[in-house]
Amino acid sequence: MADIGTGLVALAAAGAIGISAIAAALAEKAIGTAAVGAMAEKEELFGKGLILTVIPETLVIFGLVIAILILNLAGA
Amino acid sequence: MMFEPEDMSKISILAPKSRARAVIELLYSRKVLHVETHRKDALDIGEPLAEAERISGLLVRTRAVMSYLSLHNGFPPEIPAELKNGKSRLSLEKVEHLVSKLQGGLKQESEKLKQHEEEKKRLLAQKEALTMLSELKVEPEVARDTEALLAYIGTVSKTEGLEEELARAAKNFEFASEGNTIALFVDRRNGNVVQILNAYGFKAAGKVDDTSGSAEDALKDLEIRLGRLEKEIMASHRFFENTAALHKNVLLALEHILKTELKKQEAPLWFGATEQAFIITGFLPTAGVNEITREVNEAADNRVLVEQVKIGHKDKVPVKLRNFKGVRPFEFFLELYTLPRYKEFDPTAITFITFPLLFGFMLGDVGYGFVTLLIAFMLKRLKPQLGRFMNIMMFAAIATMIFGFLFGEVFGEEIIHLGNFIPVISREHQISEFLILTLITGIIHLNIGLLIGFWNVYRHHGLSHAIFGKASWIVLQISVALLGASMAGKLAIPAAAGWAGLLLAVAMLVKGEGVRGIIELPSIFTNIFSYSRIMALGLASISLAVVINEIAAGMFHSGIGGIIAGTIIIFIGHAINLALGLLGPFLHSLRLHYVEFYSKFYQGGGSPYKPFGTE
Repeated sequence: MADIGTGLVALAAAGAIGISAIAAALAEKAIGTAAVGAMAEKEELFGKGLILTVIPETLVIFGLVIAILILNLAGA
Repeated sequence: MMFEPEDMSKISILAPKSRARAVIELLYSRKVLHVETHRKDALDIGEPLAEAERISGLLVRTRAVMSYLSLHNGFPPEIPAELKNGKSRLSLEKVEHLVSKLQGGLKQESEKLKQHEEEKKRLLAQKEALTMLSELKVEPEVARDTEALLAYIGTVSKTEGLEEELARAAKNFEFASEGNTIALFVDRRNGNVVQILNAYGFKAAGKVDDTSGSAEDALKDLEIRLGRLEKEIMASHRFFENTAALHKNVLLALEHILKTELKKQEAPLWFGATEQAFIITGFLPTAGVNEITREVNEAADNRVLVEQVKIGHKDKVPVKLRNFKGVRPFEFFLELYTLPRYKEFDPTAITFITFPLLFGFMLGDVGYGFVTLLIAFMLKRLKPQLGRFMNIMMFAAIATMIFGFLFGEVFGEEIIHLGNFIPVISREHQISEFLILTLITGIIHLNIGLLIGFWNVYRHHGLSHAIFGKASWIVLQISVALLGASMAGKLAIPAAAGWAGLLLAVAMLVKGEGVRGIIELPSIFTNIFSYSRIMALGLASISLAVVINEIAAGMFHSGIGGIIAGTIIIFIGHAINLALGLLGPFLHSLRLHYVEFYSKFYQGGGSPYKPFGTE
């Protein structure tokens, strides 16, 4: 059985990805709504809308990177 | 130069109005001149040619006929023989004759159909009412509205208490009910029974005013009338179908021809005009200027003046991208985002190399790459309109396979060990090394962007702007790297050198980009870290693949049922992972270009080149 320390490392990694995923979701919600609205007015905005929508995805990707680093460095 | 949009020239064509038709006809067929809309100044805006009004009227009527026949546009523009006047011109008289004839007949028929359908609806309601009356054993003759009485026949949602409530509201009434079906005859002077009925969810059936005899006889009579109506309605539908079949081709072609003709007739609205002459200004690729000048002169019997005009600062020169054939699919990304301005660097050729590389770096799997290649190839065959996009996917798939070999991965398994060939790096096991590799990729990619930006600014605004605006970012990166290395003790130089470099970079930035430069100072580093998504997406994809493989492998040891279930899991699992694996790397590779890479040099905002005569 793993000790408490390992559990804490796992929790830290989960927090890193989980919380950043919620943050990214909140941000993308607002941008996605606005982008769809803009597209309804002007269809050519699809490209820009798509890009704007994935911009906050950086948050969750940083979260994932940090989670992986935690597992790798602290977990080892 | 293939890194810039096509060279454009601005020309003006000045000719007497008598030659307008010939000039428009020529420009329309050549499809090279991007006509600039004339704004009213000393010259008026031109007026449409003589037949514009007539043609637009005909177009509206043709479309009306088409909508009667539920036809939609989209047919090769061949002038139907019966509408020709002489050899090639469309005869408007003949068109008018045909359209009037069709429209008249169709309008009459459609009114008839509408009447019949309304009558059918009424009779069906009456049938319902008669059926109810026969159930209630009430004679239709007493169920009519009269001067003194109103008849309500229909259904309610419940009958309990209805009669009592009616008795309270009305003095004289007759009431019959059977289940939820009711018939009520009430003195006209009792106004509020409708409210009571509504409260009980009353739904009225039809009126039976024009029937005779018993309910059964009336129903028989009704069936005969309905049958007759049905035949009439069918006949109307057949009439529409036959007319559509007979005139479909002509009408579709006609709509297309009238549409193009109207465009030509209305073209002068874009021109400048005097009483006797008109002037067209527009842009076209420089290479075509001489030819079009000669052709316009020919078409207008030399009574025309074609001149090259100098392109001014305020001119919005249309942009026509110019790239090698294989690179051209990648112009799609610029059209999706924003076209470069005229004389701006066109990053299509670089994107052609870097987009598949980043995509392959993220997906990096021989198996997934191969499947993607097959899918893209087949979709390209099946749906030619997706051709451009599928070409991009094929390049991306090939890059994915190459990276797959470097990582040694096939469907998530690290199984490529051909003789002495050792995978360059294992994404699954050398995570830290892989992360550093992706950051180095980012640094290279971004600095290519900065160098392009440097060149761009240097050409348009001079060397000092280029140094302060673009090279400053490179100095900033170097000094931060020096500072970091000396603080970590990896480099035997004093930290002060790093600090000095940093100060220099900040000063350059403030000079080059103002206060905004300081605010954006950290952006270059977040941009670099943004490339860590290459590792994150790759690792997510490979982890899923490994999980799928392990679940399936476990099942393979438990009998024939397990082997079947395992195979299904492998197929579905990898299909889902591939779908995710295509969407993610595609969007993120695109994002790394749009947000991180292009922002280092790209301005965009060019308007597309749309020559007169194209859709």
